[in-house]
Amino acid sequence: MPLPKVTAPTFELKLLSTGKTIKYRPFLVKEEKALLIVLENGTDKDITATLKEVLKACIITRGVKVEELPSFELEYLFLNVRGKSIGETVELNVTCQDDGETKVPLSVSLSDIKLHVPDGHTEIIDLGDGLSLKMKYPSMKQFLESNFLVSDAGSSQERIDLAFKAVIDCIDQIYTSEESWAASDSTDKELLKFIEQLNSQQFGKIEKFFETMPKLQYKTTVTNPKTDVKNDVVVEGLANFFA
Amino acid sequence: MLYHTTIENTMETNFALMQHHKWSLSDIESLIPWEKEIYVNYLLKYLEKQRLEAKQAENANANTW
Repeated sequence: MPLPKVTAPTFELKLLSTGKTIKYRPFLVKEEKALLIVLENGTDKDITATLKEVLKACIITRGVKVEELPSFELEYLFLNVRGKSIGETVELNVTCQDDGETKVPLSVSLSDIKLHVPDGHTEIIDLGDGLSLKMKYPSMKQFLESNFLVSDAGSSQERIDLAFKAVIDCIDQIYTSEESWAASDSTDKELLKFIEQLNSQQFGKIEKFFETMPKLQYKTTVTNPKTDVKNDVVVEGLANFFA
Repeated sequence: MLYHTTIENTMETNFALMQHHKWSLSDIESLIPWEKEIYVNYLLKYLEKQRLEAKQAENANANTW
C-alpha cells in the first residue's frame, strides 16, 4: 500500500548562480519549531546545519544539492521559503548611525531585498601572461569548514593552511589561450603548489573575488526621531536581516 | 526578527490547542506557519464571541431576576 503524500503548495524560484529553476514548498510548523529551538539554544554551526536540513526537505526538485549551493544562493533561497511560510515582511530594528544608539523599527518586504553584486566582481581572474583562473563560489559546506574550522584551529600555520584550502576549493579551472586544467582533475597538493607560486598582486586579485562576492542587500533611509537626522541604512546578509 | 514568534510561544499555543481544543500535535505540525496563525486567530475570535454571548446571557438572567 503506498504511503500517504503530504500535499503542500509549491512555488518556483530561479537560482541566481546556475539560472536553473527549482520547485520548493513552504516549511511546516514542525520545521519552524526545529529552527526556533536551534535559534534559541544552538551554536552557529547547529543553526546552519538545521537550516540546511529544512531547506533540503523543502526543495522538491530532484538533484539539487543544498550543501553545494553558494552561501549567498542559500540565503536567497531561505528568504524566499521564509516568505512563503511565514510572511513577506520582516520587522527589523535598525540603529541610527548619527547617535549610534536610537533604534528605529523598520518593516522590510522580502521582495525588496536584492542580491547585490559589487562593481568589478568577476569569476574570471586574469593573472597576467595569458594565464587565467575561473573561480567558483564557496559552497555551504566549504563556507562552514572555513569559518568554523579556522576559528577552531590552534596555530597560525594551521589557520593559513585552512585559508589556502578555502581558496583552492574555489578554483574551478586554470587556463591559458591554448590549454586548460580543471581543478577537479588536480590534487589539492598540485593546486596548493600553483597558488603558492603566485605573487602578491596576483593573490590580491583572488582576494578581491572573495571580498566582492554577491550578497543580499537592502538599502533605505530612516529618520532619527530624536535628532531628525536622516540616516542611510544598509542591511546585508541573512544574519543581519534576521538579527 | 526571523520569526514572528518564539519557541515558548509556539509550545504554549500547541499545548492550548491540544489540551482545550483537542487538536493533535501531528495535525498542528503539518500546517504552514501562516496557516496556523490564521486558525489561531479564528479560534480567538470564536472564543471572544462565545465570551460575549455568555456575558450577555448572564446580564439577561440578572435582569430577569
